[in-house]
Amino acid sequence: MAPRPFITVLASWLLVLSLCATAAQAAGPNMAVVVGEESYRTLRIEVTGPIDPRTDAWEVWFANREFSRLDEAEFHSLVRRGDTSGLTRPAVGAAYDECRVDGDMAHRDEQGRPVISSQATRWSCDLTGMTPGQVQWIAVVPVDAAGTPLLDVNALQPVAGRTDVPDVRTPPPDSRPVTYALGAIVLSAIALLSFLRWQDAKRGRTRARLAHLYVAPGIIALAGLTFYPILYGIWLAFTDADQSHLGDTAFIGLQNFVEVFKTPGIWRVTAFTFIWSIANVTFHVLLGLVLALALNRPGLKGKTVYRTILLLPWAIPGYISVLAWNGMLQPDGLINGMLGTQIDFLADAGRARVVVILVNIWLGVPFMMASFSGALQALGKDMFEAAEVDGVSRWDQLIHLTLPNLKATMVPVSLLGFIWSFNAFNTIYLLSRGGPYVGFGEPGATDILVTYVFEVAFTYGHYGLAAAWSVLIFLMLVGFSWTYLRQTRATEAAA
Amino acid sequence: MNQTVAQKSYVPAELLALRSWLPAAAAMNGLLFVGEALRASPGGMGLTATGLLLLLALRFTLPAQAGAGRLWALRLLAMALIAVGFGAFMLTDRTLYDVWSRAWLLGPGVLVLAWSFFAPVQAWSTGKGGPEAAEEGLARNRTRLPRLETRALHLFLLHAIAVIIVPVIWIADVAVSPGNILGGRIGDAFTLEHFRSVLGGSQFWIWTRNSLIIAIGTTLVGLALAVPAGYAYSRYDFAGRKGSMFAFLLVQMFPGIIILVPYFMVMKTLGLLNTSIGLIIVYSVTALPLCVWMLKGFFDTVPRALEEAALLDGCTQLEVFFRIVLPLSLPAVGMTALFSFIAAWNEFLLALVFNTSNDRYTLPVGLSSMIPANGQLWGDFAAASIVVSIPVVVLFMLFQRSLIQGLSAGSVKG
Amino acid sequence: MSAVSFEKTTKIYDDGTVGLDHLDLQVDEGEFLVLLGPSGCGKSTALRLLAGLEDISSGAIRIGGTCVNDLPPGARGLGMVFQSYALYPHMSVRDNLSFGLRRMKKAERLADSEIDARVMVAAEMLDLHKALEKKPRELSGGQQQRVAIGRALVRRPGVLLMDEPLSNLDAKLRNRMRFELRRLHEMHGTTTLYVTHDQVEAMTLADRIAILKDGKLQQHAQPLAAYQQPANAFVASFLGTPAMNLIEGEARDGRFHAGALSFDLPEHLGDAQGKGVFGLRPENTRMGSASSSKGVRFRLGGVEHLGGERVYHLEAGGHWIKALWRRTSGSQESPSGETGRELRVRLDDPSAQFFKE
Repeated sequence: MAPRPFITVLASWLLVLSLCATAAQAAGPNMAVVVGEESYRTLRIEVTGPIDPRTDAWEVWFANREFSRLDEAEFHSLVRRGDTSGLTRPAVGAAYDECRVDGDMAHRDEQGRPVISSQATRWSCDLTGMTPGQVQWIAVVPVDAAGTPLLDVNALQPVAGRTDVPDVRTPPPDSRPVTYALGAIVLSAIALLSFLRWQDAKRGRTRARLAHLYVAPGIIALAGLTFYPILYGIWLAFTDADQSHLGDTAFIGLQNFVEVFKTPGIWRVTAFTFIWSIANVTFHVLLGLVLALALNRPGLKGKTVYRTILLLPWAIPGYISVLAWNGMLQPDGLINGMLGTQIDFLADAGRARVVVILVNIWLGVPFMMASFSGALQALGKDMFEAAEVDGVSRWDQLIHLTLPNLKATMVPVSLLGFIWSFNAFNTIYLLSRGGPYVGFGEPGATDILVTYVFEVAFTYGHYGLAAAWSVLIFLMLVGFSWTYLRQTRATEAAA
Repeated sequence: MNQTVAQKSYVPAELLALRSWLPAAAAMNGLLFVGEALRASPGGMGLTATGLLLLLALRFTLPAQAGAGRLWALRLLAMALIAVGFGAFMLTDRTLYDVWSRAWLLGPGVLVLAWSFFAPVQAWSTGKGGPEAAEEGLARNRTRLPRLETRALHLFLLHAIAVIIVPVIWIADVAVSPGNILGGRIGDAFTLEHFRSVLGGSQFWIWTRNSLIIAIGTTLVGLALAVPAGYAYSRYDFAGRKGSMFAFLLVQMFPGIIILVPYFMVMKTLGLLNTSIGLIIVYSVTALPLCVWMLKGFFDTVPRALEEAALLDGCTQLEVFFRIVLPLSLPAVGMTALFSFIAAWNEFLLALVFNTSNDRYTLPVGLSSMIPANGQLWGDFAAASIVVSIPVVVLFMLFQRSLIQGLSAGSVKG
Repeated sequence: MSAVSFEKTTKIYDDGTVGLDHLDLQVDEGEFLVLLGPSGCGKSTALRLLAGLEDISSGAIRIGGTCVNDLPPGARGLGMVFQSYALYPHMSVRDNLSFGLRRMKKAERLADSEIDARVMVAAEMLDLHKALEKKPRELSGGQQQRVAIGRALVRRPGVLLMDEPLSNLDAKLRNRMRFELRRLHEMHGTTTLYVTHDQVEAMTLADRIAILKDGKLQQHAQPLAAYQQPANAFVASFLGTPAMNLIEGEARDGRFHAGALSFDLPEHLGDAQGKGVFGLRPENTRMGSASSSKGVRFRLGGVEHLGGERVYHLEAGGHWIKALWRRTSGSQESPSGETGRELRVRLDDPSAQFFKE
């Protein structure tokens, strides 16, 4: 019995030794690349010296099969080497593709690329955005200032890492808290409804005996699948939940909110979101109203045809329209063809902003047109005939009769339009992906709040941070809606 | 001066029309200015701006009352406008866009010039027309003015539908053009290769299957939840009615992004990512408030007397609901079903987040994945888009009036 | 204040329906003319043509001698009261009254003080001065009605047009407003054209009535004249409740034959010949007992008791007629109403009419 542990220890020891030996051999005279932490969509590579002094940068290449030649692989990213004086280091957690030099965060240049100091002997970087659930092969190729590889690019020895590791390594996230919470909410909804029914019974309202039963499924679904996620989202905003640890999130107070306000470009993206929403809603209402008035002319020929075509942007699935505009706006697309130019509309910040707004206006006008058409028909023509007999000009009729009477439609519809524009994720995401690029970790030139939150959550994986953004966005919307309704009510009272 | 009633109220139809057309043309040139700015053409911008100012100047030079004269100033300005329009046209490559955009300077210029020589306009502006001329003019205006207005209206609406229809034509053209050409002449080549490759491949059918399962599931679950609730809100007064109706309304105002992350987390924890059930649940709940409001509106229109009669005949409340109310409001229920089906069929963001593997994609995510990732299959994308859009567009158009009514009942009145 | 004349005024709509067919009608200055007829008879069309809300197809309309065919509505100097009142829902009563005045062309606009004064006068006259700041929806039906009238009057119109202004009021209020309207007209003396399908309104309000049917003028006369001497069977049936008894048949040598029924015509109709309609108002249809020798035999089909009045439904030879009996002080006992009983009915009243086909 005694030898067993001994043999085990010995075998392990031998194994460790042989592994070290292999590692040493692989390192040889050259630098060594090791896959460090593996996780879902992210791999950490660690590069240890000696470093060829001619190295100006390292190119990271990858493929989902083993390769030996560079043309079989895809380029992932570039890590620069050089003088780091005058450059800044991001805070821990600020950059998702963290790079470290001898244990410290690496410096970044103006474009956000990591720069490794010439004196450093070892560095590591997180490679993000890998396809999950695969084995990835990675090669690091040092290049000199002229861009010439310092390795034989036809005899590469990539290292392998798996990108589905956390799913295997950590147990699946504990679903019990969620299940318990959902159960509790469903039970309390049932209890509430029973209580209400009991109250009704006590007051002798027997006709409505079944009413609570009828609304119960809807209310329970609403409570469990809308109110609970909202509360959960608020709680998430105070935790460090991200994609690498889901099961063991910790309460971190207001840190996420502090982080939000430290985001470079936060005021820019907020300002653009409001400009975007207000510009959109203004033109939606304006054009929708003009079109509705035009279609409201009695005896207009072809009214049905016009109306049907004008409703198309509403009828066609939005993502298809936006992608079509994307194609038309390409440098070789239809718009450039018509203008006789070769402009990449989405490449330049100013142009891209105008263009995304124009496309979203195109999408939203039919809804407003339909709303106003209905409201105009409801106005009836008597009032206008009375004005006609009184000799009121058509313009005065429009200003003093039509518009004031449309206000009851206009106020809720434009608020709704504002909220929709505010949340118009598809338009931005499918047209410009928030680009053009502005700065590292910053929202892009055409990012609006919701697309940026999406990026924080699902590109960077910072769920807690994204939840904090969401809470703030919600507060903004509530604040805006409240002010708007109060303003319009105030003018109504004054009028 | 003692004027007759006819003289007092007569203004030539042409001038009346120009009073509103000139500002409209100026506004149009304001838009064209944005176009010139987008294509970074300083010359075009300058000339468009000049044209805009000239149009406004013309508007204020129009004689405001009989005998105001100013015809020569009007003609001079009009000629200047024509010159500017012509100059701007010569400056460019004379593409279709250029022809059209300059027409918005040349057209008004020519029109003003021509009409300034029109006898009734001249007579009125110089104050030479007597009471008879005014009466004749009024008689002429009676047919002339509506005709001018209708023409302008048609011109405006044609512009509007051109803007609407260009992407549609473009997509149809890309779908039947060989290769992945984005520009080029419309209708210069024809091929069905893209339709063949989309409909012949398995991927499109997998996405369609996913979308169908999810959309139909959403419709069924959504209706099962919304129909009883809508009925209860329409018919009964019960404790908690107002409060819960307000809750439904509140949810409708929540922006999707707020619940996006928590939804994702909940679904991940429950292991419902990459499943149809996850999306069905989320879609039916997000569409629920609007469906409940729509249905409540529809049920409100079913006369209560019918139910009371049935109750007197000895039906139970459940029987009344299933035998009387539901059959009567079947069209309305169908409309709500159509609404939730289309909403689920078109939804992009949640489907994008919830489904990471290609064979779980719904059509929106699948179609959009054809563009940036795999070498931009514009032709295939266009063909698939047409196949996907046609059923929903046709359904929408067929039922547009009821759909819009239902939606406005749900969104505006609520 | 102006006279109005329709001269061969015709309106044919785009779909080919004839709204008004060569209407010739003269409305004197200060007259209260009621256009009466069933719905679709063209009475509203005539009013709307006069107001300029619809284009005239041929003929002419003159106001104060001037042809207004081509004048825009606002230049015709009219005030109009709509059936739905057409009040501006978002404006207070004060603004409703003054809106038209404030929006006149600059050259013709009145001074603000003058506008305010006119609004105050109208409000006083119509008893609206306490409701001036209210919105139309806060007013009762009668008040809304008065605002609509006030709005038409503040313009000091040459002609006042009213399109079934009382039809949206309940019966009691309608009676009161009728007197109100008559009083207003007597105060102002504005030429008024009033459209209605209610013959009671027509009889009580009008100086003269113009009765229309299918776009054609049937009779233009003073109310009582139209009642007593209807120009044709249509007018006869339209005026009076219960309606005039009309029997279709043929007059031959002093007798009237209508199928199984035939009877002697009264003396004044003795020379009537040929096919036509015999008419006699129910109140002039007198009944006697079966034993009486004079009159035509009728069977009593039923009696409606209306308190002070009774309506007897009588049948002979498949023709139904009505006889109205009124309780007056000291009148004789009414004929007893046993259904199926035979009665003698006198059809030879001097008020009887014969309308030749």
